[in-house]
Amino acid sequence: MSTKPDALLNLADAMAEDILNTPDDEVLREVEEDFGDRRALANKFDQILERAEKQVFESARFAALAPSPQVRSSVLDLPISLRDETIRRVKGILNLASRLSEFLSSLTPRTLAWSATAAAVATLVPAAVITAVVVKEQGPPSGQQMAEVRKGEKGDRFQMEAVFAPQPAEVTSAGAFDEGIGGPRTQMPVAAPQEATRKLSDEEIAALVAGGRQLMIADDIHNARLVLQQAADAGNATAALELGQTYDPLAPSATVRWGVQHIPDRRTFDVVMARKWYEKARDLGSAEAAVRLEKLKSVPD
Amino acid sequence: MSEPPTGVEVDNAPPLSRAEINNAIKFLTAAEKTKIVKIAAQYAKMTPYEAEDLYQEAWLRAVDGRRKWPRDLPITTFFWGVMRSIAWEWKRKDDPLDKDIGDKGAEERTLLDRDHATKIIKAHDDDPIAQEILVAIADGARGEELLKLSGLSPTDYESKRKKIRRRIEKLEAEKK
Repeated sequence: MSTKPDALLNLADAMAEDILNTPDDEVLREVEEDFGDRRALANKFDQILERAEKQVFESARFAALAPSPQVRSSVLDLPISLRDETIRRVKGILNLASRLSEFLSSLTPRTLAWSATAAAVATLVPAAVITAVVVKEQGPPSGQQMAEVRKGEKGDRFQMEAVFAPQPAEVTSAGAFDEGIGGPRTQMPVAAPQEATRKLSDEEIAALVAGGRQLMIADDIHNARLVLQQAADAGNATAALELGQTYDPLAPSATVRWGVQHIPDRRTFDVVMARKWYEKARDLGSAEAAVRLEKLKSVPD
Repeated sequence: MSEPPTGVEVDNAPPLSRAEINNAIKFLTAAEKTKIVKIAAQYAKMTPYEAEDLYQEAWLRAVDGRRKWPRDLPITTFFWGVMRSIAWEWKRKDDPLDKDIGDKGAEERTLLDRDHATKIIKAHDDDPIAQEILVAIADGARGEELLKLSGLSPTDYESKRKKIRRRIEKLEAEKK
């Protein structure tokens, strides 16, 4: 018996079509019959994509760092100037953590709970190492430096920390976002945004926008906002527009589409903040921002 | 039998953004995930890779923007199209297994594909109608043509197609 060269593709097409047309409940029954658990294949899907997402997230973090020897760690929320050698050491530790996490996630379901704990440890250990390395190499902040920061004067490390810290106005209006973890952080002393902003190169801005997008992919909306805000404050219209979208209840990601159930997290919406960043984007030349501002007119604050 | 859309933007509406894709995947039902995994297994047979490589690659291409997701396309159909296209690409491209031996490797893979399809058809030796349907599918027959060829009623034909699919799935599972 001989078959044509595309026989396998034709067979796969036919089977795929049958699978798509099979009722949902029947598909799950088949999985139960084959694996003893209706969710066996769905769990496998989750596991694979979760791992892939982590890998993309880590690559994105480092991609955002690549242009300059600066580590913007989302674990610490603290950008730190490091020597290349130090970055290599930290990367090595993170790769090891990633491999450890991957190995653990391939274990039986009984041990998966342990893998979650280990992954958390694997994330915190590099954070501690980064801190330790920085403290060792650059020394702890002196009392004078701390005083300078409080006065809003320019000190590299702590100036950048101020950029990452939420602005008081933002915290107040977006306070619902933080309510679950102890209420709005209105008491945090930070420098005024204008004082904290420094001139960023085009390369750094592009890296920040890319990093912000990758954080959105990883659903880390809080850090995505912080990263996008840096680029927006530096005068990037795209970053301001995308930052506005993270607050906008009418933005494309906040609607129901494609027959897929989509429940947006309403705690992250803030019309006032959306307007603020759209206005900034519009002023920076974004036509899309003007359209979105018009749409937002129908939404009460 | 219709070919799935390949994730290429077809109208003026902007495709889904990365955040939207991420959200859509987050809210997939167990049945939808299962269907994607099962479809991936069908196309992975054509490649030297596993089903999980295929849907992971499809996800990656969707989120990094290499594959545009048209707004009106259901998620399972979108994944189907992208996975099919990737499988075809992997099959045609010099994959790592074939690199060392160049064209010979590609020829061998074609022979392996034919052999694989032949094995699937031969596994239905005890069911001549199923075998006839499979041979026709492998030769590119579609829809009504297959129904007519089988000589079955539409209900019996659907039931036969389901039996064929389940048998192929079990055949693949046994090989692992």
